[in-house]
Amino acid sequence: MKQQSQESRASIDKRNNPEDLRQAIRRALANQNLGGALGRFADAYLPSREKVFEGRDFAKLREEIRRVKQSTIDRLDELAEQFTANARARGAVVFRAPDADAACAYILELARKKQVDFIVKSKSMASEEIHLNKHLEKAGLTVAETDLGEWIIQLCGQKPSHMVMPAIHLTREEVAEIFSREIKERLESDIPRLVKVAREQLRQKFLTAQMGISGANVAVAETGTLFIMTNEGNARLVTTLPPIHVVIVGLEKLVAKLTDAGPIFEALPRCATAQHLTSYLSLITGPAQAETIEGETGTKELHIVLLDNGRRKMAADPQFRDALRCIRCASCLNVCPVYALIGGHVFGHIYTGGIGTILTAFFGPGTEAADLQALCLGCQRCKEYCPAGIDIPQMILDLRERYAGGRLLPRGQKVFMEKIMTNRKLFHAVLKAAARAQKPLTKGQPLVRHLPLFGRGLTEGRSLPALAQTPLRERAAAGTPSTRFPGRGEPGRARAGFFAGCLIDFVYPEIGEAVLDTLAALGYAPVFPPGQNCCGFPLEHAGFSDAAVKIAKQNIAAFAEADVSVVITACPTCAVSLKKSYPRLLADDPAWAKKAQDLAEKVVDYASFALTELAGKKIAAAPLGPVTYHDSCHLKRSLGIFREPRELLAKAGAEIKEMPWSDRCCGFGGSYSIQFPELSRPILEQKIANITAAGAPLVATDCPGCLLQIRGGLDYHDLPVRAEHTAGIVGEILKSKSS
Amino acid sequence: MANTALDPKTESNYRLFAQMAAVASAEVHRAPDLGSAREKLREILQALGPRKIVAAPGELLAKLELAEAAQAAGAALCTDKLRRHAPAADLGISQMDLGIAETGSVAQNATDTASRLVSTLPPVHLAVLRTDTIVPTLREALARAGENGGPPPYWTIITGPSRTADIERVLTIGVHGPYRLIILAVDGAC
Repeated sequence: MKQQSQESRASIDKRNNPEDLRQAIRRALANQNLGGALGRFADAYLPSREKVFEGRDFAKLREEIRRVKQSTIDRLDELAEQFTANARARGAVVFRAPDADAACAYILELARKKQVDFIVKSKSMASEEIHLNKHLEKAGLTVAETDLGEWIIQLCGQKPSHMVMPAIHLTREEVAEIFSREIKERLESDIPRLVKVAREQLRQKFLTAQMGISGANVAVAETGTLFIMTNEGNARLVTTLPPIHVVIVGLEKLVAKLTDAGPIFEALPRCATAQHLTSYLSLITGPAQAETIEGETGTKELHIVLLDNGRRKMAADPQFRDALRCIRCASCLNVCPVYALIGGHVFGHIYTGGIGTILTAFFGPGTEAADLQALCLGCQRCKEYCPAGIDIPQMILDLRERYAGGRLLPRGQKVFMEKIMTNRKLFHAVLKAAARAQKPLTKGQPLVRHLPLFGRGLTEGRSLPALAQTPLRERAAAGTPSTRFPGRGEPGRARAGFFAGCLIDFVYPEIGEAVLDTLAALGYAPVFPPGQNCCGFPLEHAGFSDAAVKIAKQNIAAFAEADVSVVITACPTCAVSLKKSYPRLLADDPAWAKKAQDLAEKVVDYASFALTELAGKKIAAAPLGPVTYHDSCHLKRSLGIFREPRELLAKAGAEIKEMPWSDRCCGFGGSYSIQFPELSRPILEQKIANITAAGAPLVATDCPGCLLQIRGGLDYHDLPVRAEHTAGIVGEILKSKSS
Repeated sequence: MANTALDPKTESNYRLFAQMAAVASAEVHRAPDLGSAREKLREILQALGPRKIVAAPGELLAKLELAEAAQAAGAALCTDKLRRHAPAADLGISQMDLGIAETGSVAQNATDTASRLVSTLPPVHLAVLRTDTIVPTLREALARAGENGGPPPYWTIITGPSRTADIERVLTIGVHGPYRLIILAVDGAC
């Protein structure tokens, strides 16, 4: 136990280079307790959460919270002043702390002035952020955490690994060990007994402490009210028994009006612990009554430390200010596939997971965030569940660009991305040479390593495909077979462009052919503009946005020249790039902004396009049998498309058999599976298990990246399940019908 | 006996309240009038068999003849110097200002330390409530808290007993606060 806690500490403190991060990941993955606890939690969280949101409009609630907190961010200084004035008018002492040092110094000085040597605390992330305990203990004071989880980690000298459940990484056996040491009595690992020990041990501390310190969930400017929420009841004791109460609250917890707290507390317990409401929610407005042990009543002393520590800087930063909407529910941790594998000691630094990475960049020295950002897989799941509507994945990309610039990538990969990929002809010549040089082997051979996504090719646990001998662009140019590729179009037919992307162009040209077949069968003239390049997503994702801009312009020009009415994609990642990234990357470039917008508006994913075009038509000649469907992260969460491919497949004769967690990431994440194969692999393993559980012989997906990953996993395990792109399945039926 | 028929709104508020309070592991009793509430209180005390009760004074508690009920149950009743008495009490009793239907919560102005001590330190908390004070939503309750020039110094919402899931996410009832929350809702008590 002792050894493990030391290791955990090492993983927190030693985070100065990427190799340390890798080691921390390896240690976390090797810790079976951690994997078990987090995995079980990830599975249980969503069903319970769904239950407490029953009959509630989550989207509407999210919009309310967004509005409330946005107004906080817009008026941060004004609300801080208003809060200060109103809390003072109600008798509180308010200290505006510009940074951690000032906050710690104020509290220490107060303790000294009041001759306090023993303090009880209820859970406060802000106090963790400013390392308050360390500061007070160094000065000789005794500080006891009273939240059960916080007490456990205080006793074993760790840091919280989750914002709501700080000791989620520890087992009952480990807790029994920690408590046994504390009370010098051998304890069994019986949870109710352990909880009782905590009650007895901490009860004495509550009764004798001279000062109570707590955080707050919300601070109301118009009334000077603080909201404090707990389940254990420790905050009620911390704020009732000692004669002095100190509250540490970050500026972002401010809201304008008392009623603004409504939507926050409707969402917070439901998102955090799947409860309708926590056991206790207290509103403190100025000092309340206090009572001495002798029964004398008086007025309590209430000190409020209103903490900036980087929050005002964040509010002034247009890229990151929205992160201050966070209500600390930890939904983003609870649904994160990477967090579920490695926990908050690796994926986080005090504040954990996706939002933790962003907050860490501002609420501290910021250096830890530089590596943390790399852990994001980009699956967008956190964004879907965030009750404040924070675009966490986008902010992590922005962080990557700002603080890291792809520093975890091998140097060769960096040159490849910045120099070769942005030169389309050179890039494609490299790919062709690579295709010629490779042997037609697949299993265990990382042959697609020349693609931008596969710099290192170090992937275990999946087989990789070979590069196609003839890429789609050559097949399209040659017009083979000519009947299927009318090239630049026939008179009277609308021109439909196809954006292939690297994987379809160079690895899976047959999927591209199926798309072109589909377009032809639907009465369009399919067009493959030869000037198209990689979509640029891997570049942007690695933090090279200048290179991504270069590539965006190449693609915009290629499709403008092709003069098409619609642009079809069969890769959701490319679609996100074209539809969302280009307009954003070029928004401030007057020569390109409108062109980017024009292209974005023409982009439609294959399944949506085909389904619309086939409305009212029958296509299935024969039943396809059971098919299970894997939702790609980008198609479902970035583009909101999940119904269309299922309907299209059903139209094609498929009997859809849903797999468990169809929209959980497959672990591909583009270069992620190369950068962190050790994380990508267990995520793929879960996906393969879910596919197998569906019991269908065919799994369909709309993403060539997912397809590569899933096919690799199925092949590696020799499973009798085939994986196909929806376009491959539907295109074939349409082709045979029209010929 | 049930002389004061409640209006349909109050009735439906109560039904949801009772259902949600049970979800939060609170025990809910209902008395249709003051007389039966007195009986119910005696029954609850008899069943619990406390040696020492701490109570925060309240008008409804007086009407329920708490002192007599405690005496009948053979329990010592303390209503002051609670900072000293509450840690050793077996039961804490207080009167709540309102209930919240959608969450099964009870809420009160807890500015007096007595109201907080009796509901946090003893292992069992008995919360007495007028049925017609139950409001439908948390938001309405918060709006009530802010009436008359802002919230009082300490205002509290209690939803079920104290709980934790901090060890392996296993729900365990009764950490720092009460193991049991018993709610007695009284109709027609005004």
